[in-house]
Formats: sequence, C-alpha cells, structure tokens
Amino acid sequence: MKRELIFLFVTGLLASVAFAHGDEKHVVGTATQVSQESVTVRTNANEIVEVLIAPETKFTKGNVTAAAGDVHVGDRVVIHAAPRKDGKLVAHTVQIGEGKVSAQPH
Amino acid sequence: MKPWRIVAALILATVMVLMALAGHEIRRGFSARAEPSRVEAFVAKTARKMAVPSNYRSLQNPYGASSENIRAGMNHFADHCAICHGNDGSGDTPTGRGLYPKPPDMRTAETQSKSDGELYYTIENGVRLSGMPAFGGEKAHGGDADSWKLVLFIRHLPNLTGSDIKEMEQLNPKTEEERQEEKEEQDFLRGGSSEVPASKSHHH
Repeated sequence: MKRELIFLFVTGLLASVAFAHGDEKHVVGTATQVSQESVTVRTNANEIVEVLIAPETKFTKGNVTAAAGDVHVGDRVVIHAAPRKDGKLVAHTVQIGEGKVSAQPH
Repeated sequence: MKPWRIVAALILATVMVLMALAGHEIRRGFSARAEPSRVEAFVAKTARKMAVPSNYRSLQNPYGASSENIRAGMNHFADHCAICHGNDGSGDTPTGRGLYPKPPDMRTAETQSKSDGELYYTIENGVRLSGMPAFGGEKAHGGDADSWKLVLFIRHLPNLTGSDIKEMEQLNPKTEEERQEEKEEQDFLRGGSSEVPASKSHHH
C-alpha cells in the first residue's frame, strides 16, 4: 500500500512538468476601433473581433518595432492572440500593415 | 527536555510542514499553466546553481565573439531553441508559456550574470524536471562548438535587432502549411490580396 501511495505522489509531481498545449488564434483583417485597451478588427470574413492589448503585447510594422499608438483605424493587422479563461482574446503580437484598406469587404 | 525529544519534535515539525505543503500543492492542482511559488522557485534555483560542477563554472568560451560565431549561434538558436525561448530569448512563446517552470527571460541579469561555463553546462546537460533537454553529446551536429556558439548568442540577446529577429523567423521550424499561412499574412500586410483566412486557431 505504501509503495502505491509513494508511486502516486511521485507521478503527481512529475505530471506538473508536462506540457500545456498552446491555443493561439490568428486574427487577420482591418482595425475598426483602437483604444489603449484593445483593437477591434473586421476580419476578412466580415466578423468583428475584439482583441485585448496586454503590457507584454509586441507591436511591429514591417521590420521595425512599433507601439500601440501606431495602430490606426483602417490599418491592416495580423494579430496572434490567445484566449483568456473568460474567452476574451489577448494579443501576443500585433503586426501592422503598410497599406490601408480602401473598401470594406462584403 | 532530553536531547532526543528535541530532535523528535524537530523531525515531527518538519514532517508536518512538508505535509502541509504537499496538501497545498494537491489542492492547487498540478497544472503546468501555474507559476511556481516563491519557495519552490527559490529551492529550484538554488538546487540548479549547486548542480553545476565547479570545474564547469570556471570554463571560458574557447570561441571569440566574432559576428560569424554569433550568427552561427543565432541560426542554431532559431532552429533548436526558439520554440520555447522565443527568437528574442524572452520565453514568451505558446510552448514556453505552457511549460512548468516557464523558461526564463534570458535577456535579464538572472541569465546574463551566469558564467559562460554555467550556460554551456545547462545547454549540454539540460535541467532536470523542466522542459530543458540536454543537447550535449551530439558530436555529429557540431557538439561542443555549437553549444559554445549558443553561449555567444545568448550574450548577444540584449542587443538583438528587429532585422536579426526577422532573419531568425525564416529559420524557425515550421510546417509547409504554417509557411504558406505566414506568406499570405505578410502579403496581406503589404497591401496585397485580402483573401487570407480571417482567423485561424493553432493547437501546438
């Protein structure tokens, strides 16, 4: 019995080393609303998706590091984000496009 | 009080503390998403430091910090290490975030203050009970030379440029589908066709 209990305890400890699978989502589209807290994107499938900005969110424009203030309404964006426990998406990276979208897709 | 009673009381107190800690861990669960407690982090870091043999700690890097050697380390890092540590060494990757313990931000003093020998030993031998494997012993892949050049690149991490990272992204292991998706996203950002999948989930 003791051996089984020790085995269970050790197995439990080792289990904590296991991988947790990532669940990253790519949001691709045009920024329709921008604030310090989030970027709202009209995706190419015409869905509206809000992605939250976190202090560790990284922004790039071309090859250059950018900032949250560089995202403007109408910019093309590619956001890599992961869902929080409450289901809201939090951005890890926000890539800002160099060309604006002139017309919204239908 | 007799000495044996003092010893017995100390042993009993220690056992009770350990049982309380074990109970706390069991209630907390064993999710890899959690952050190690301060006590756990302190014990693990101390044990890890002690685990590096003193003859390794004083080793000097036999390779000079030439741009060629740093670039070799960078290419190797992008191919083998970046999946957990990130190209920038921050550890902020989907895999890194899911590990327990999380990979350290290697740009900070916690890593940069380690000796070349300590970094080399960690690359060659890995870290037990973590996601860090031992990369040593693969002489066919460059063996010692690769590990020492990785040490040079780790020293270079705080000065990494945006173009270095872009270059590394081309060397990160990816499936054909991921490469295609990345190409479509980059075309879209440059003003090309908007016929890019609107959103995609990735289960790594």
